[in-house]
Amino acid sequence: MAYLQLKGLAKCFGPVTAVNDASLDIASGEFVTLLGASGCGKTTLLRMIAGFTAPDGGEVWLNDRRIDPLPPRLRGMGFVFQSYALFPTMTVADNIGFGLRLRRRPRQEITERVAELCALTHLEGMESRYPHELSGGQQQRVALARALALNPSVLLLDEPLSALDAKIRALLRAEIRSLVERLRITTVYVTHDQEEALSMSDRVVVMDRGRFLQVGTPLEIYTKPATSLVADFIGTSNTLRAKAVPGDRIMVEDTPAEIQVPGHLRGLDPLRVCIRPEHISLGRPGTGPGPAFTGTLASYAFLGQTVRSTIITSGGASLLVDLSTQEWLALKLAVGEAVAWRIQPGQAMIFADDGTALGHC
Amino acid sequence: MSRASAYAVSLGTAVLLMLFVIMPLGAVLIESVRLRGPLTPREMRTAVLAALERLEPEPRRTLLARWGDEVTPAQRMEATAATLEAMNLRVLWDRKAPFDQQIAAAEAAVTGLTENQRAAFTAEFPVQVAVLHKRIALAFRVRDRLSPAEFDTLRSGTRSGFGLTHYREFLGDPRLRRAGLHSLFVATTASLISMVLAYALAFAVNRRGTRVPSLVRFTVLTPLVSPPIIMALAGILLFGRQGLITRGLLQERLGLIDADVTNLYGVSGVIVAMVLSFLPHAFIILDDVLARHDGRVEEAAASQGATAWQIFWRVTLPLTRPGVIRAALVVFILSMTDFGNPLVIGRGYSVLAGVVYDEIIGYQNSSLAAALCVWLILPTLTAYFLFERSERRKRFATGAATGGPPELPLSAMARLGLGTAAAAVCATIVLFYGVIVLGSFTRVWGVDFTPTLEHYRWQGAEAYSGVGAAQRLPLIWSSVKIAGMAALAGGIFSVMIAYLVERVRPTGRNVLGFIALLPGVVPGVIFGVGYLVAFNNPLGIRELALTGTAAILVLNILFANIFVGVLAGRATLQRLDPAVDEAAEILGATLGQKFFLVTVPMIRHVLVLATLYIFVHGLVTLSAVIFLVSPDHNLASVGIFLNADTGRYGLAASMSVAILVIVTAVMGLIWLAERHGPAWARVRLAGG
Repeated sequence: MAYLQLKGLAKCFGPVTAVNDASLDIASGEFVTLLGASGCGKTTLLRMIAGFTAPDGGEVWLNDRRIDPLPPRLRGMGFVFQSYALFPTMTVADNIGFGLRLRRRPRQEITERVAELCALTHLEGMESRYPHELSGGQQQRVALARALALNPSVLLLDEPLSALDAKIRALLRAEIRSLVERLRITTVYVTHDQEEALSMSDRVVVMDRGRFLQVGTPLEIYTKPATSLVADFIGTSNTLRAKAVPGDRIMVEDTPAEIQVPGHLRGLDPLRVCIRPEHISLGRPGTGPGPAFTGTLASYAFLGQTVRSTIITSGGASLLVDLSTQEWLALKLAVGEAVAWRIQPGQAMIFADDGTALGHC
Repeated sequence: MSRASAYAVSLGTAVLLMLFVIMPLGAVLIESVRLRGPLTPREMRTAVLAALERLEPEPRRTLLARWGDEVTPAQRMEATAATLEAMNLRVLWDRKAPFDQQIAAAEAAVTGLTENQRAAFTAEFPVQVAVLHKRIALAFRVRDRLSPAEFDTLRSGTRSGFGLTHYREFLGDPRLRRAGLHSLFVATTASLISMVLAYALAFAVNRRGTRVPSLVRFTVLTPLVSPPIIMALAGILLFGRQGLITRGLLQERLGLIDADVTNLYGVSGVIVAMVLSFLPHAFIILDDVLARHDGRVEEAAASQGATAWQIFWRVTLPLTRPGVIRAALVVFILSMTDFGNPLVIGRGYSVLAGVVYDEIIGYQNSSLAAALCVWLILPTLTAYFLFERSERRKRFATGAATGGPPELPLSAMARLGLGTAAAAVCATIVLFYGVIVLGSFTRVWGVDFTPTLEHYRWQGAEAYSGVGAAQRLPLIWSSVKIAGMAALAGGIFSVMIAYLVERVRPTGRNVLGFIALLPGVVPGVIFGVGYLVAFNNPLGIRELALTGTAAILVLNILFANIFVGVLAGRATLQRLDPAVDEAAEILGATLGQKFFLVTVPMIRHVLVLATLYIFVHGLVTLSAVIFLVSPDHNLASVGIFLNADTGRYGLAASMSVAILVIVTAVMGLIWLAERHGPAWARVRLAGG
């Protein structure tokens, strides 16, 4: 039931491979996010969908019609640019109505549609202003309204919020999400901000160096990263060296405390264990249940709801640990003191050295 | 399909640029090596023999026999003499004697030949008859067996070949060599003087050396938008034989000099006129350099204990040296290729550019003129490009233009010196313009100073363009019409090229951009000669000739000046977000809609600037168009030059004033629209 299909899209810029064999089926009304660090090829992929960049290979299909030979103006898509790209010489209303005017729609219809879109994007009363008279958030809304004016088959957004400050960003994130949900528009969203990706999307595509690392729901991406690269990129992770020992157990950081692992991992050494800061608990040495690793508190930072502390493990690795402020205060630790740390059961992710996920423990 | 239309538009633009920029420039080079002239007897004989070879042996024999019989006695005698010469025998009779005596002597000479000689004579004689008397008949006889070039050579008996003769002529001919040395001397002197003056003025304007910097700037820049040779004309009115100062003041009032002997005509006048005409070009460069210069460097030097004098020589001057060299080079090139001022005020002091003008207008010797053009610019252009290349490598800049000028106070002496220099130059410029206005209202300068408007009636053929009574149009309006057409078309064309290069980005866009800029560095005289030789008989097809039409003037003015719009357009587009273009595209805009609905409104100030630049230059340019005007389509700038050259100063002055008024009015209108007009007329991009 794919609505928008990418089949083996590829693009090189000289010696640099920007996108390599990208294939993806997107269902009608789905919100898909391309997530990756800058230079990973996500914007190039989006521009190939829009038609701004001609692919070196591969096809784009929309609603069972091949569209990659078509120029952008015949694809019927909406595009929101990182820089907004509003027409500086036109008013808000003229910006939004530009596509309708090109299609020679009746003036009455244009006026009504512009008013409708202004209401939808909370731009009432701004119709006769020029872009430079608007705030960044308002300019972003105009860009969104302009992209929606022609009822696009697909809405493409290229890091639309990256130029805004944090508060407006959170607000617009929710607005965009609810808007496209209400309009049931198939959306492809490009961002390097994982919080944005996780909070808005139906599915997330994690990209690195032109390849898809993982495609999945935000929950899958976060809890079951397919590779250690994904685990590293999504959220904050501690990566520790480990090795398998007899009896389905692994030894972390050469520390004697061993953990039970599902399945047989012998022969896959060396292993890597990723643990998120919120999945480690701290205690004073000798307290608490079961085996514990040891280390020293190196520093801590108060972040509001949580306190992030840095532990130097007995193996010499540095480890980030998030505790709720209350827990932290209860512990009364001082910098330089010895601590015991534990991995919450089932929360450590084990990867082979090449990055393949091997399971949890 | 927008991709197809993008290709079509790029291709069309490339073709236009090739036709109207590359082809004329290439034509100058080709013309400069083209040789024309009569063949030598030996070459003629070779050509005739080659043509005879094309005939079958039998028809050839009968033809030669018939021609041998047909010739008159006089022709026979000529052929006999030529045959003897071809056999390396002396012609023993007097070739200047009456024909009947010569004929008898020739017959006697033939009978006196030995047996062997007679055989050779019989073989050669018909050939010489053909060479001397039947060459044209032979040419038509074997026309279908000859190439067009061979046919032309045989028929006309002239060579049309290629060679470097014209280039050697410059080195060998003392007249040309002297003109070349004069050019070098005048250009060197003018560029040195302009450089020093412009530096002093730019320094005064940027370092509080004058209390009215904007007034100084305005006055010094005015000659940029003034009619040609206005400085030479004003020089004559002030310092000529009938000059206001030379005759009126120094001779008649004070009795100090004899104005017929002591006047500005000659080399000094040429230099004065050139300095005043080209000073603004140097000033604009140095003004920019000093305005961008970050004064913190000087302040740092002062904090180390340097004196003002040391700061100038060790810090400021070395840092601005590239600008100084560039300014001097620009004035040097302009002076080398200027012929208007030297011809009007030089009076017998010939310069190379003037010889180019004479060779074309006087002798129609465009080949020699083309070779001289190359001599004129090759050394300077080479020097200029070498300079630009070396600059690109080192480029020392004092940060971005953040700091502004140094706030070190100027010494009273420096202020006095700079202020005086600025005042003197400005006063001279104002005086020169003033005397032009005065001259335009004076009946006969130096003789009858009665105020009159008669020069503004533009009576007489000298003030009109067009031959028939119905087509007659005052030169001024002819200029406005032609410059206007070039400006309207060229303004939008230059913005379009900028858009193509920066946004559509077709393959070879850099070549496209480079070609559009070429006319900016090629002097006008060469661009004019190029149009003359390229479009006089293009590809040998007379019907394609553009010479004598209004179109050649419009095209020349257009292509000579689009570089300003292309440069400004590209610079502006580089600063603007390219995504705006894509936003329009995905909303359904075609290439044309993207350009006209989105890009042009965004960069309309560039469009206005480019249009205005072409219009003003179309009104005041002389060096290019003078070779292209015709009685039917003439221009005021050419009229000013010719009238000044022939002593009709009043008429020349009145047309100069008219041009100044039109230019000022147009620029004033645009300024007003920008300041106080409705929103749509405000060309400056708001915000952005």
